[in-house]
Amino acid sequence: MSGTVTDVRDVLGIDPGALEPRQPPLKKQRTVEKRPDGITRELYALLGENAPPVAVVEHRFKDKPKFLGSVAPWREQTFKNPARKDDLELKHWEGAGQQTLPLDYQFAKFNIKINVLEYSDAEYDAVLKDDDWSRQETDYLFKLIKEYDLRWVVIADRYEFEGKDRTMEDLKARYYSVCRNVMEMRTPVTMMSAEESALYSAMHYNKEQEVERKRIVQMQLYRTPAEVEHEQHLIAELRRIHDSHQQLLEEREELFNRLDYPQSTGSIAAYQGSQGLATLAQNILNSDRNKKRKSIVAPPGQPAEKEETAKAPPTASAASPAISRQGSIAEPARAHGHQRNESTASASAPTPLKDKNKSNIKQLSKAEEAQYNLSHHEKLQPGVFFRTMKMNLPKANSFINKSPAIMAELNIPQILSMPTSKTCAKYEILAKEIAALMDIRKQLEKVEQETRIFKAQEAMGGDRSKRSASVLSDVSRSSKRPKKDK
Amino acid sequence: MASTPQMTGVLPPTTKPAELEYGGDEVSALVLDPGTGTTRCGFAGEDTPKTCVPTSYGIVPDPEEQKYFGKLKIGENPINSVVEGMEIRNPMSEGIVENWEVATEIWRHCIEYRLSSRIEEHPLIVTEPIWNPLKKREKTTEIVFEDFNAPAYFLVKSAVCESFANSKPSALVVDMGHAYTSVTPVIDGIPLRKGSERTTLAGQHLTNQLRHQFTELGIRMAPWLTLKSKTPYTDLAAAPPLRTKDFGFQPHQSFLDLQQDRFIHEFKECVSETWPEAKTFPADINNLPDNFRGIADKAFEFPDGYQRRFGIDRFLAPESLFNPSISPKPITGDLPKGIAEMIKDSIDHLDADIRANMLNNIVVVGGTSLLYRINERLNHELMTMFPGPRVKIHSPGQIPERKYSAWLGGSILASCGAFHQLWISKQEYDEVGANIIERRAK
Repeated sequence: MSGTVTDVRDVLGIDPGALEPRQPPLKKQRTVEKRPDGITRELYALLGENAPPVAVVEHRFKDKPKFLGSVAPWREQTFKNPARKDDLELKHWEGAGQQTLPLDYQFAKFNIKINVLEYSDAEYDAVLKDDDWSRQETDYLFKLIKEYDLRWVVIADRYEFEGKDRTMEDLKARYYSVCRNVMEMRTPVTMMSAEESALYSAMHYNKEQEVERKRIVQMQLYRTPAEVEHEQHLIAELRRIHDSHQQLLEEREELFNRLDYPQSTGSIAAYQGSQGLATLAQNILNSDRNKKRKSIVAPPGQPAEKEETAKAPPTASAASPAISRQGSIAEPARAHGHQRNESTASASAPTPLKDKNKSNIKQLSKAEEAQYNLSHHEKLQPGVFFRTMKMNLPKANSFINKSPAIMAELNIPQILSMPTSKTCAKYEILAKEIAALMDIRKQLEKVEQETRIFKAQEAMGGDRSKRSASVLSDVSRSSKRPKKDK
Repeated sequence: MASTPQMTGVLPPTTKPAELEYGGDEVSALVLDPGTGTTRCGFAGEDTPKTCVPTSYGIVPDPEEQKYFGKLKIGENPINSVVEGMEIRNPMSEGIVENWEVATEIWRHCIEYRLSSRIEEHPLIVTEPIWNPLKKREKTTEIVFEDFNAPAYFLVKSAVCESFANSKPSALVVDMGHAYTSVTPVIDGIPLRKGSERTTLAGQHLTNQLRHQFTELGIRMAPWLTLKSKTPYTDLAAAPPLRTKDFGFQPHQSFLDLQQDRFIHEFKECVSETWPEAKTFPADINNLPDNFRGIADKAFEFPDGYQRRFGIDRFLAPESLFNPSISPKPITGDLPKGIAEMIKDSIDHLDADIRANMLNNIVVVGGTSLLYRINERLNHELMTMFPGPRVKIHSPGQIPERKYSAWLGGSILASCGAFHQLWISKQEYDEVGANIIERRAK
């Protein structure tokens, strides 16, 4: 190579000395750089300058397949299928050496027939007679069942017996009743083994139910698109309810816990006799007596107690909560002060107790009542409500529509920030006045409009002056009130 | 270096599959699937028939031929060559064999000439339509054992084969063939009689409709074979004169019809299309509403050089499969049910418990099912008819699998190890007679 290069230089007249002397090629140093920790070998191999992967394509034919071992000879051999009743011999190819005996033809084992019950003449006469089904037809049915391996759809499809029109349910009902009867006759039900009795009960066939079920299946199949959509909606709803059901249960549980419902732990067996009941009554009486303060609901005294226990169901679980709940209601009421106590008592206690309790209560002066914001009502409305909800406001549409604007004009908030009874009363008065004023303003506008019309008419011609005068007097009468109010 | 791509799950050809893992056991059987359009024949165990011969045959008057009163011409080439006096006939009628002598010749031609096989050496499996009457079945049996001398034979319903070919033991098979479209419920490989329906709304119907449509348009229906050359033109009024070949004789009309069928068939394959939704098809195609969705035109050149763009009118003939009342050529006699309607009727005949399963396993096969977007239309109509249950149409994606589904199912069946106990042997035939078919193959 180098010789040719010098030749070329000579030809071109290049002085070889002008060129730099050739340096000996650097010895390739095989420096093995240490792979830093944490980088996998495969990843590290990708770093640095890498030649792009180039597939070397050789233009030649595909390699001959490499066979493992020598080629085994195959022979065409005849075979017999033991599942066949005739001696048909078919030929297939077999690898030499794996000659199969005709008896164990590998596919013969798939020849499976089901066992269909068979009955004798005596059995038929004894238990299988049926007005609707002749012996021939029953035999025909069983022949088909055997032939089609209990594929009922096919059996019903192929069933043709002297023009009799049988549905699949008819056929099934007959078959299962025959099977049950024969089984029962051969082995009485009580003597059957577990397997037999399971089969026996599985053979039970309810034709009406099946017919109804198929009717429903059919109905389900031929739904209209609207029905399908409705159903999907219902399913979604159901799923939602189902999902929230757990939450609902939890909330209910929590509520019960809050109510502090005492759980009965003891058995109620002890209280089931009359003697036990008497003991229970005595116990309850004692526990009630031992309380520091008597329940306000049930006054002390034997007759009331007896009545109470008699009313309560004769179980400990039902009786004891009834009593303790009374206590739990009464106690907080007492702790909260006598005003509340009085209202609670007057609201919840039976009437005979009212007078008696009133005598015990300290009478308050008007000032004190105002201070405690105490009010007396003829009749208390049940339930909880806001005072503002019960305000007696004008109901007219015009008021409802326009009052917000007027209120805003007057700098009065729509929602009362401190709805005491006094404020509410004032508010009611204010609302009534506003309504009245609105009414008057409307009236005034009407009259002014009328006046304008009449004036215009007058300008057009004075012939109607008489009539307009009378109207004007009417107007002046109605406009008196607004003037005074303003 | 070049390595063959290995598909996972597919055994390499050199490895023998495990015993029973593959339920096949080849007994070198032959499968014959005679149809009105074509007769398919091949070796069991293969995935497509080796040969597909037109069932139509030509007959040339010949005083010396006593048997058929003429010389038979069987096969693609003989029937498409111009022979003086050759008449084209079909041995099938209503999807079943009518002319037994000729049908036997065609079958023999398929097996002996096309497959180069000796019939007497191979078990033979033949398909039949569900409505094949007992007499015809017995006749087939007789021919196979007496004429062909086959060692074993079985007659199987094509609907069963089609459901097997789609790997379904139970299916609602919709076979859209040449002469008939049939709907057959198959349960565990047994076809049901109630619920089986058929109609002539199939390939032949389409061809006739298109022929009528072209004639109405005033198109000259000269087939390729009769023309010397063509000049392209687009205006029918200014059509150049036809330059026909001079054969020295006038070919038989049936021959010309067959030749016309060939380019109409091409039109069916290239231009015809199914409208995907029933309710949006325009009521009057000559007077389209202004807001009508535009459809791309498709061009077609007729053998004489006439070029025409087909718009909405290319949907008309396929539409008549679903709505026979709007057929371009009015149907004489009772109006048949549309295909979707027929499927619904079939479903209505079935037991309530299997209906949902059948709707979920609708197998659509046959050459006519290759019409562009026909499955889409079918799916749409069925979904409208049954909004509740799941409707699923299974149709092989491969064209040969769709066209030769019945043959393929027969091929699978005949190479199945467990099937070999079902063959009707020559011995059984000799003992019982032709009636054995009724006992053994129901």
